[in-house]
Amino acid sequence: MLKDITLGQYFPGDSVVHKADPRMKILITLVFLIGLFTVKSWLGFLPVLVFTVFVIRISQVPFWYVLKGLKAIAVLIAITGCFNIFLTEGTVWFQIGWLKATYEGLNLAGFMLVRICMLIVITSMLTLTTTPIMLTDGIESLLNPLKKIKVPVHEFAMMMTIALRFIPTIMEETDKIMKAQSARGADFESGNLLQRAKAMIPILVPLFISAFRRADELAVAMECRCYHGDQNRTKLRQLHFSGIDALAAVFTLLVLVFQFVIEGMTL
Amino acid sequence: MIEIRHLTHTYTSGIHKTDAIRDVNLTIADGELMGIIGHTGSGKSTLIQHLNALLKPTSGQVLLDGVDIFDSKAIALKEVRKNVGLVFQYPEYQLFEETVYKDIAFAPKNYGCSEEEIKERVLAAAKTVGLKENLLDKSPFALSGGQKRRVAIAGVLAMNPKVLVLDEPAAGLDPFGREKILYEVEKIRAQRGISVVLVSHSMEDVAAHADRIAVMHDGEMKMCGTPAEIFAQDQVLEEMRLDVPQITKILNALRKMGIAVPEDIFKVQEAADWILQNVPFTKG
Repeated sequence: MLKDITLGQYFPGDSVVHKADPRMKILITLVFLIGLFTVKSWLGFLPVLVFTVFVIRISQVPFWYVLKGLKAIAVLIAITGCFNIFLTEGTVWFQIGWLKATYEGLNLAGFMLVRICMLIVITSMLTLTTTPIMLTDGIESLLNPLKKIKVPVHEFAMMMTIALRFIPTIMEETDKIMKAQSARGADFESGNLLQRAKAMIPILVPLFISAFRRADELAVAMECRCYHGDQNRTKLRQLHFSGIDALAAVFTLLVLVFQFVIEGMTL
Repeated sequence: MIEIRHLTHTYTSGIHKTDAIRDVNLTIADGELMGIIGHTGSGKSTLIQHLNALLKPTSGQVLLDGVDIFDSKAIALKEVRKNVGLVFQYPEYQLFEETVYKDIAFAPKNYGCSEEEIKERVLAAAKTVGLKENLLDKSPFALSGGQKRRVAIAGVLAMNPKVLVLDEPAAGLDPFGREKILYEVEKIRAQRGISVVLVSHSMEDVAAHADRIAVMHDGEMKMCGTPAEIFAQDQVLEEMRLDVPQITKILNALRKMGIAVPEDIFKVQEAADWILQNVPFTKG
């Protein structure tokens, strides 16, 4: 059950995409996310789609694994889809009471569907191929200029690192506690909403207790090693910008250019 | 009786696949205290999670009194878990209720027992694991480590399982606490006549309490037999970097000196008593 959440999970591997500089990957992801929102015609999706498929291929992450991440937001997609279909003005397709479904709405819903799915796939490609630690290192490095105006970038990065670092631990712990309570006959999968919510108590109480204990222990361990924030800290992992990253940047620009050319032709 | 037949479990992480256990065969008789021993990562924990169907095998079967526990038509999952009680490692982290009583009552409540029966079972389980009755109204979080663990074990015992599986019940306790909890495990078996599976990485603990020992190494079951049979193969054990218990080493040394020490002594106290009675000490 918990293993089904692909969004934000790392998929171990050894590909070019895995090895690329996290800063570059973050920037490329950002560029594409912004790019996706400028798309106005169906054909405009094509360059980004081709590029994404290409990246998934060379990353060796199986397609089905990437697409599994979409399951988590199926409800969101369905709701936005309904809103678009029923609340857009235009030619009526069919009518339920006062609700009018329109062809324009259908078109818009499809458009949004593709956009949201692409958003999710692209961002999950970033997290699937980048370890959380590399990701925060990348973010910290990208935000470095903000230190000039006294933004505590390092502290934010540290908080993120710790939070990300503990996601697998807490997931593992949740899994263990769920198993332990199932072994005592607890049932998490049947009953109405209220019963199910109540069935969560035997999981949440031990989970919170252990999370607080862990936080406490970590704080003590950090103090013991004289952690003082950003002052004179060096890094174990240095980020390197390599030829592959430059190539990726060039590709990204090309894809964007293609997108604008196609958009320009269809408009 | 539990029969494990050709059990294999493969974990998948990304593109990597690892066999946690490979083709394990083992039969645990009624009323038997079976010890399972092996290093960290030898597959002990994976193996025992199949016994109450928390994990599904990649291939192979587990039979409980002749019924395949993974066949949902033959037996319901909840029924399997009632009959095979599993106590995880560090079980004190699963406690959640306001009082010790309520926590032990969690399992019988899930199985729809009446209030009187719940009370009966809670009191019996608490007594078996050596919890005093005045502790039942306290918060489980106010107890000591050893007591918390007893509450957790009682919580599983309250289901009245036919088989009790304990994963490292003595882990993280001081030597005195270890001995006490293992003694209670033996007491559970004696009082209730149920099968007990005791998982540990400590030869000492298992040797002193188990009827038979199964040795896991690298996902496979390498040996299975009485402690005497297992420790006779001390060279094979050494290859797996498992040591025979210290007390067995001493007794083996005595045997080499020509003293006929009985085969079935594995407890330190018993060994000491036997030596004091039977070994002539020379002065000076």
